[in-house]
Amino acid sequence: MKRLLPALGLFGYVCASPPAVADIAQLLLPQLQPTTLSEREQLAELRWFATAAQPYRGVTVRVVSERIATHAYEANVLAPLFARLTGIRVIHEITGEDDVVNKLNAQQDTGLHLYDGYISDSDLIGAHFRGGQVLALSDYMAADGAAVTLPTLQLDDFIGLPFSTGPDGKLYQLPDQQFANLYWFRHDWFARPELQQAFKGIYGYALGVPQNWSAYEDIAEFFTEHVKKIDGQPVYGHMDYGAHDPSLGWRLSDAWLGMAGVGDVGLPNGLPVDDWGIRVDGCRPVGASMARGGALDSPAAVYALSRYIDWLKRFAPPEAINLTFTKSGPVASQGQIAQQIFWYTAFTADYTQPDVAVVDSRRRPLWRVAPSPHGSYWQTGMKSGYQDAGAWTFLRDTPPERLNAAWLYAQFLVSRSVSLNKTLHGLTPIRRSDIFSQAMTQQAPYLGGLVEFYRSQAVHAWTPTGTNVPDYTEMANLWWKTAHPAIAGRISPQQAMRNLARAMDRHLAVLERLPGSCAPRLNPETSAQAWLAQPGAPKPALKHEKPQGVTLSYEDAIRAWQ
Amino acid sequence: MRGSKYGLTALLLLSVLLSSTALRAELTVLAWEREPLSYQDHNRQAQGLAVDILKLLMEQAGEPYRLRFVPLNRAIRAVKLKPETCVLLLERRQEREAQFSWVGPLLVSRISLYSAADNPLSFASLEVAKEFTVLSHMGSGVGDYLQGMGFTVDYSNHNGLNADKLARQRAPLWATSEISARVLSQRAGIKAPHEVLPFMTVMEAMACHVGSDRLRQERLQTTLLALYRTGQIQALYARYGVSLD
Repeated sequence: MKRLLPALGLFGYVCASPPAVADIAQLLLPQLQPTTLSEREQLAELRWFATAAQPYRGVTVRVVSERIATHAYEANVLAPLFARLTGIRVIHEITGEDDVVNKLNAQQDTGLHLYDGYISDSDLIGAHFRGGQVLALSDYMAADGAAVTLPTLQLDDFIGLPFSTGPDGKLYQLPDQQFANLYWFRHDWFARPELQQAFKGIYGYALGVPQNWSAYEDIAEFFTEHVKKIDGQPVYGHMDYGAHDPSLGWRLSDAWLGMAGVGDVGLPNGLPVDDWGIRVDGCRPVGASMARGGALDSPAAVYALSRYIDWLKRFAPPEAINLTFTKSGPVASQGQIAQQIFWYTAFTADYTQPDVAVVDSRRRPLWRVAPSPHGSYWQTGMKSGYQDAGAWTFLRDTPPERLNAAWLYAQFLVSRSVSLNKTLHGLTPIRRSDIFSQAMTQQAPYLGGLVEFYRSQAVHAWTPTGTNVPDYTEMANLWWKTAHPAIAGRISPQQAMRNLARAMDRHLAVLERLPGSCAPRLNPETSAQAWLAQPGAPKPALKHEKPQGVTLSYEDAIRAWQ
Repeated sequence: MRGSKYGLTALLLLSVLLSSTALRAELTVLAWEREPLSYQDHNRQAQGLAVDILKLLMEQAGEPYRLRFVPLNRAIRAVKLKPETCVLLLERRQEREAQFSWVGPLLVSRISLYSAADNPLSFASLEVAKEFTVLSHMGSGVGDYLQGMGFTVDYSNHNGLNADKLARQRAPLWATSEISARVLSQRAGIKAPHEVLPFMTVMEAMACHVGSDRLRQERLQTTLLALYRTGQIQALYARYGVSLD
């Protein structure tokens, strides 16, 4: 990377004419290896970009994305390459995820032209297809954007397209990077005979990959309260975060409630009640509280928040309760955490660096990922975890020239000419062809199970926030604001979930004014007991929320993905 | 905030009905010296783009307010302690989100790296610029951002000193907005610096005590968005020679 960039600086951004084929081969091809294309195909694709961009040479576009390794690589390496190839200058800003969302909202709310393109999580799809301000890419590609749409884009090669497609069948966002939320554990510690023996002696079953929350809790307790130190270092059986911060809401809405089993059976998010506890009628959200048929204040939701708080306080490092998503992210890589119930694969690149404490001298990770354990209310047929795509999102009022130029840049970053090379740097795969490539096979032993996950059928059971959430930005804010008082001990988890459900209902009521046939329309308030008596969510309280713990060997746990 | 999309007119009407200046406590707004955005002239009169935007907002919302200048850290401390107090302006960052009640964006700035006029550097990306020291100022989120990325940042007490420091080659780069680069260089009597690399857009907001009157905050937010929609804030930007394109 450092060798290339000063050279690019000398060449400058803009050429007077499209680079010749020989120039592309000489300057770009070596930087874009490996690829799943033949050299001839790659050259042809790059030539297409140079030609299609001719009307936009000299144009500057501004895009923004969150701060992860994939986007840093795009901003620092790929954007200058694209500028060299096309003459389009790209200002690719990197900032916090919350800031990306705030800026997207600000542009929609104020009408200011802030950016030409956003890489924003597909969690917002419920707002995008209802709001009318986000460009439907499928319409654009077929009409105004046809001349600048890559003929070899191969949409059917993208694994995350369902995440960014609305119930109207239109594609609103194009995946740029994708990540999943998996169980993470120290494979080397779990394999130690003395620890295996001690665990079995205390809990009566084998130390292994937990299949349910009971086993996870036992393992957390084992490491934090019984093992306490490994090789002279304090160790902890659990890692999470709990600061009063927007990222607290993501943790709860992404993972805890869904895996507790708050919603109904059915993919991607559960029908008619989803993993946010929102009931839907057709495509209309009709309520979050049990009194309106939702499950956000149901026993399963209270169970989820209670376990989250209890484990955070009992088993995680003392500082965890004051950390945010960003600050807690690297903690497990520092070598003191035995397992983490929800771990984002977007951290894979950071956790496989040769200098981190969880990689051995042969550059192989000491950790593995596996399917996350299920809570007591979870049933077969429900989503098995959270997965999301950071996806290209364009607003309809973007000036056409800038939109076309930004669309070219977006496609360059996800084109088959670029995507495998980018995937190997950022480890956030988006294309089936990359996942099944020889290069990924070679990398698999160094990635702790990431490749095995993406090559499995199970990948379809990991899903993002669904289309039932009609205003992710504002509704996500309700999570951290209402849950934190329970973490601080000021109110009970039950009260917090009741407050959250009511706040969600109030916001859904405000959104009833949205245009279209998928706007929320709240059910009348009735008796929560009447809804609890019906099959499915909301589900009545279980007599025993902690059944016997169940574990599997890593090999058997991974077999479940096949 | 989302009300602008789903019923701006209705909310605006509501806000007008609810606004009765005689009944409401005066809001204290604490600004910090930050020419050309907010500063006091020789007659101790408040000046600057942010001051003008605030004035327009408060007039339109019918909100009584008192503007005082204090150092940034004191302003932040005061807002955390005293209800009905706000800071003008603060960058709205995730780690600050829970600490304040926000009205914004009050100011959107494009930030670039600048080099001295007689030292026109050129970089293809921020990564390449990392080996050079960058000038910033105390309280700047941009300086913190660059430091977090691995840059060496030289913080001045206030941004006004950086134009001169750049010209004297105390550091080869200065991270600031276009309006600040232009106006502060002019004040220092040196040539306008050379824009090397635009790299960031910063949204700043009025950060108020977290327990501020919710209805007032909503009214201010709704009024602010209406001012954007009608182009009145963009007109103020233009008066200061600022364009977001």
